Amino acid sequence: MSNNTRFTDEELIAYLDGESDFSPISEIEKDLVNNPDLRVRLESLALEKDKLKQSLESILDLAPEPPTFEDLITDTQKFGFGHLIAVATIALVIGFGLATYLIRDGEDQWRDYVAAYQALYANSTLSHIDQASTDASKELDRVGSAIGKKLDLTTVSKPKQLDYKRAQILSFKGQPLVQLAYLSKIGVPIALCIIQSSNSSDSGLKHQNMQGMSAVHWTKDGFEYLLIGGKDVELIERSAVYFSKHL
Amino acid sequence: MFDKKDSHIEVKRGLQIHFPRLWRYCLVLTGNKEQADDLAQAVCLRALEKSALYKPGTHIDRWMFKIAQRIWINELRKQSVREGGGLAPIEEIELPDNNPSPESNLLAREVLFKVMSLPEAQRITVMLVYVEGYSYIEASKILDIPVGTVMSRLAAARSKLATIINEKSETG
Repeated sequence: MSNNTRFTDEELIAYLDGESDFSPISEIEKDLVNNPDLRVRLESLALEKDKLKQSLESILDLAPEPPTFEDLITDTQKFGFGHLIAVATIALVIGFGLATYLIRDGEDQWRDYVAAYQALYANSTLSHIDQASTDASKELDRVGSAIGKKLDLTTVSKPKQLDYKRAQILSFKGQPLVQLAYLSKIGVPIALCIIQSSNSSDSGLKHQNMQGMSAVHWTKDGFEYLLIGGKDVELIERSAVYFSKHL
Repeated sequence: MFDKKDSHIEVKRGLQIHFPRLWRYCLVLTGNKEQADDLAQAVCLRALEKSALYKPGTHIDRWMFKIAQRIWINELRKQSVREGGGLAPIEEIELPDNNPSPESNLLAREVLFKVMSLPEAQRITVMLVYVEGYSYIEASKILDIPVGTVMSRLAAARSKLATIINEKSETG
């Protein structure tokens, strides 16, 4: 048997590449000592990988700039990811803080948008508002009917720690969403948002931090609620307990 | 599932950092600049979409190359073949003359041409193992092929490449 055919090209190349799992290294090295033919064969299989690598380095300089997130969104249709376009539209309205929430799927998504929107609120957004109770009641009737829920001014404005300001109807993916806007005693904007739920079951209060703000959400009687604003966890939790019982 | 926010941030950062390598790989895979641009962009989009599947701290570059491979094989290559795309415009790619030595520039162009002349399977294996520096096992995972196939592709490619690279470096 010729020693020269003992090892396949692949095994010798694996040896040259330092792939010990795929090459009988010790046998090759043993053979090399006494077998000049093997040495010649190895030399013929050698490849100057550094040169290869170097030659292809210069291509890196040709690469275009990485696409920005915004570029990718506008090109989604090209690659069949059309559902991202709805998000893009809202992103333009609310701002690109949404980027980190983009990928969340499903019915929870509305809360992410509310949080992003609430993050824009300042004291001055609401501090000038001072409605007469008759106007406030009419407003609540109007927004309540948009989601099919009776909203009563007394109940809505009862928590002593929250100063009720106004209600408005927003829209999320074509679904009406009610936002009740408050200011805390120290002037921090807080919102209670209500949307019709596709969940049939009620849930307990769930606490989380969203966009740096304290938040609690729950589902009850066919509606989903999100109370969010500021950093006073206790205030939000206490208020959530109240709203979940009485609204 | 991993913390979606961490995964997403790390994927975005990883795409920024590794984009030139990804684009180079797409260039070698597709054979021309326009398709490389498209494929690289598709990879970025797919990676962001699937960022929840990415485990922070693992090798994002390998993950990106794997996505590129999948998109090319499953989606874009068929279209390219139908449209008559294929090897060609490498001659049109002007490599930047970063190297002061004209011989080196010439060598780079010839090596690139030689690599692009290899059959697709061989040239992408060469890219991953000899240029990107992945091990046989890592390359086999990216390409989703047995290690034995990686080895036979390298063996076939080496003999073609050795003639030009080794020769030139002796005279250069």
